[in-house]
Amino acid sequence: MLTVHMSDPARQTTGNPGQEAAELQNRFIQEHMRRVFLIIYRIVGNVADAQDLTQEAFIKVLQRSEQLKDPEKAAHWLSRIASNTAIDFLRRHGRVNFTEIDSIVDPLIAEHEKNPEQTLLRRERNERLEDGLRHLTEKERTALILRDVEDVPAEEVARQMGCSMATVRSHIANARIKFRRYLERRKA
Amino acid sequence: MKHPSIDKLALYAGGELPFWTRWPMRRHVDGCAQCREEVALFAEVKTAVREETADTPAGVNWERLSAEMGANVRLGLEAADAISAYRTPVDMAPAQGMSWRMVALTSAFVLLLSVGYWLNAAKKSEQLAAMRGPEPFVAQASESAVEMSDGSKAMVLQGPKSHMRSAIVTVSTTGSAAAQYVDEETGQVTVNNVYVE
Repeated sequence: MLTVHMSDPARQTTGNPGQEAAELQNRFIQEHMRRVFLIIYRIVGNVADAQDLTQEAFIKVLQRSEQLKDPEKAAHWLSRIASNTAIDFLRRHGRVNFTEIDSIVDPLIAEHEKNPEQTLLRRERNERLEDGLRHLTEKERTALILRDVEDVPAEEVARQMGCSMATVRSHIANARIKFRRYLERRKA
Repeated sequence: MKHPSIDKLALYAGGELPFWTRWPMRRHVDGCAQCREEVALFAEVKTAVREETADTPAGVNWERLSAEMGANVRLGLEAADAISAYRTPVDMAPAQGMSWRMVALTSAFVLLLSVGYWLNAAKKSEQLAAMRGPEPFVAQASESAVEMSDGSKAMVLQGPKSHMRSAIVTVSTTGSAAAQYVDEETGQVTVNNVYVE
């Protein structure tokens, strides 16, 4: 089993290094899984690809676990790996296809949700967001997600996307303008 | 009043403008209600995007999906671990380490052999040259000429070509050769002698 060397003051030692490492890995996965999945999902646009890429990102990070000295840096590094993995995927496949939630097959669909009203609201919000994101180009959407959702500095966004600062500024500005117009149209 | 472009306002709202552009922009926005409103709208867009992306896609059973992904990650790590454990002792680490050392050792050995051979060959060549010494001189006499040579160069004394009646050729062991030619018409005798010293 691979070891994770993360300094976590809250952890309790069990006396078994292999078991401790496994527990640390599990905790790391549980803490960041949702966030990483959502970053990737918003960039690639469908659940099946996002699932594969999320797993790939975690495996990449945990395989080089010796670099994870503290949890904060580890989380930051994971975010970078996640967005890079999603960007690489888009480069390879050159497509984004937002899955209609209704078309997702079991077992990913919730069989029933506790609050139907809340579910409906969430579904509406999701549809609005995904419809809005569909109006953006792949690069505009990636730049918008990294900058406005993940709070990644613009310089870092440029580095991750492999383009200049001027280009990234242009992508961000276009994305915000398009998204704003989309929301205004919906309101109207 | 000239307003900034909408692109610049969008970037100003997110704080992406460089300092030298942001500063005059701030002055303008502070004094312009219309641009201030634009900036506020962009800030709202940012908030909306952030809030809406925080939701798990509707209809997705997150508990089940995350459990599946977690299990796959652990499986992937186990597989990677097993592959690296299989490769490391036999194929990868020692092979790479040994090949580096072997290359260095072999190169040093080949270099040593080459230098040794070269030095030995040069010495042998000098010794042979010393043993061989200068080429011996040879003195030869025939009915037509007397010749002296050292292997690479030769000096030839030709006898008379016409009316030659007879020739007496002598070669001595002390390093000389001689030829006597008698002219048929005049009876004149020509004697050629060469000596090796």
